[in-house]
Amino acid sequence: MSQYTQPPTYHMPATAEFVYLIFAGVAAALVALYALYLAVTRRTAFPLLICAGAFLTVLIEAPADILGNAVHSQLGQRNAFTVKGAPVPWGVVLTYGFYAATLPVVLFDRIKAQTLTPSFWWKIYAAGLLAVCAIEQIPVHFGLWHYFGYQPFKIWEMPVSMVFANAACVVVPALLVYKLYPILTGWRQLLVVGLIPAGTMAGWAAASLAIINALGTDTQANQGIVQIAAIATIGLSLLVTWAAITIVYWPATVGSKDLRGEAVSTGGGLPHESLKKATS
Amino acid sequence: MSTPDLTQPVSDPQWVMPSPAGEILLAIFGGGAAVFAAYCAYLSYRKRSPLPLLFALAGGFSIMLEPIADALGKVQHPPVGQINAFVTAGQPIPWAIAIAYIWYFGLGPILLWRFAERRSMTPRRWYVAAVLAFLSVTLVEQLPIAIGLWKYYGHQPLVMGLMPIDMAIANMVSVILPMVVLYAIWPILTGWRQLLVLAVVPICVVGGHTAAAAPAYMLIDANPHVPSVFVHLAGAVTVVFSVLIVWLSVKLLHGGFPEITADRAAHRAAQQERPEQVSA
Repeated sequence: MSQYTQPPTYHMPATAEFVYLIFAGVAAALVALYALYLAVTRRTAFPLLICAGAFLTVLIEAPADILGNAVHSQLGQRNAFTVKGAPVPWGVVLTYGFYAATLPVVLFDRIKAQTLTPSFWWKIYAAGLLAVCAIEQIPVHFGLWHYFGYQPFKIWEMPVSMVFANAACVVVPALLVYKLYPILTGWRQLLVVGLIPAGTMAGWAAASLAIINALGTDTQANQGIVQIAAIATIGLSLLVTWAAITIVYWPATVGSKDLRGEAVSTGGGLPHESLKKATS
Repeated sequence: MSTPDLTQPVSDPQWVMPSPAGEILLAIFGGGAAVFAAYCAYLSYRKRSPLPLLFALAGGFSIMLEPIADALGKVQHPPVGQINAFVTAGQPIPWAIAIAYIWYFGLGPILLWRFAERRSMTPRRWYVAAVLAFLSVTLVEQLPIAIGLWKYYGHQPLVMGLMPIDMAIANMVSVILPMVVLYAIWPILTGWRQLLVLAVVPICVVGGHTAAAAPAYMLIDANPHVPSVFVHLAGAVTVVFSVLIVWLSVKLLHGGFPEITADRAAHRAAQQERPEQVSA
């Protein structure tokens, strides 16, 4: 079989890991406390279930590391669990407590009111790009985790492909929660615990399918392919986000007639802007 | 702190592709792809539309799912003596499989064509399609697995016969979800927008499969110390996720959640009343 880029072995910097553990713990605690506040004042367990789903999402970290050529420093790590040889430290477990929960928890009142617009979600996506890029800079710089092999187009420490893939995986589950909130009542609220990990996995894998395949080769020998895949990831991330927003704002009822050339009505099919452009 | 256990269950690097079964598989799958592509070319000519050929191409592009599913789902194509197309993430993908994706994921949109043009799909028809897809994706793998052309190795949940049921149903999601999304955006697939198919199909294939199979992926790839009951539980959750993804996407497509409709209508009415009150 061909050689492919394997993760080197790194020493975990003890002090930096401890500091990050505290930071992640505090951040996760703040989000959880705010979720608790919302749960008490709005009299619903939903925000807390979002937090539960967010913590569960850490289970995709190891598959994502394996596919995305990332590794948490192995030697001396405060290890929570290991999947397929990819170790996940406790700091990362706590990270998911805020990484996957912050957006739906902070937006909870607006999710409840169903007042978010497509342009708002695009602003969230843009903010998400900045946030996911910023949050990993310091840990990577201090060696808590690494993007190994050839990974082109880095913004300081962070590969651009992972910035766009991670932004999609933050926005997609929040969009799904927003869309399905009106039906997640009673026992169905429990579904959000699975919705967030599944949505995160779907958004990340769909956006990064090209770069995943490229990173699985000998990246030093296939730099051109990796570069093309990295650029493709930007487009895929935008497409995934557009598709998710379009699905969320799909009209409530769909007519049975052919929609080509018809002006959309409230009972029509596609969003008005899409149809108007298609038929012009 | 301790060094985590980095050992991982690995596939058998000495496993030999049975011959001439491997060549026969390539002939059958390749012949099928040739017939299907020719049929798509005929449809494109008859309908004066590039869409049928684009569906075939998009199906081929969806091969990017295979290394992901193989790596995370512990599937192995025999490496020794394989007629290899490419290798990524240590997963050797034979030409037979690479070519088979053309019809595996291209056939669904072609079968959907008539219904999409007439906008005549109903939830019941979708569920029938899902059942047929499940049976098809399960049947198509039985003989090759029995002959030893590929295998599911390691700690697999819910194995009935030769194939884990959770993987079979996740495969069904990866077939049905692109069809649902294509049906939804069918009216805007005009002009250059038809090229979107080349990206929309693969992202729905990968996103749908990974969202459904996320629980299984997380625990199938766990270290050997995970009790088997958790692995089977993950498989069961994968089955539930798969059913929910198909059910929810079909319901959303056909406006089947009156709660969402009522919610949106109420908010729209409230927003319209506010300007009227202000002007009054």
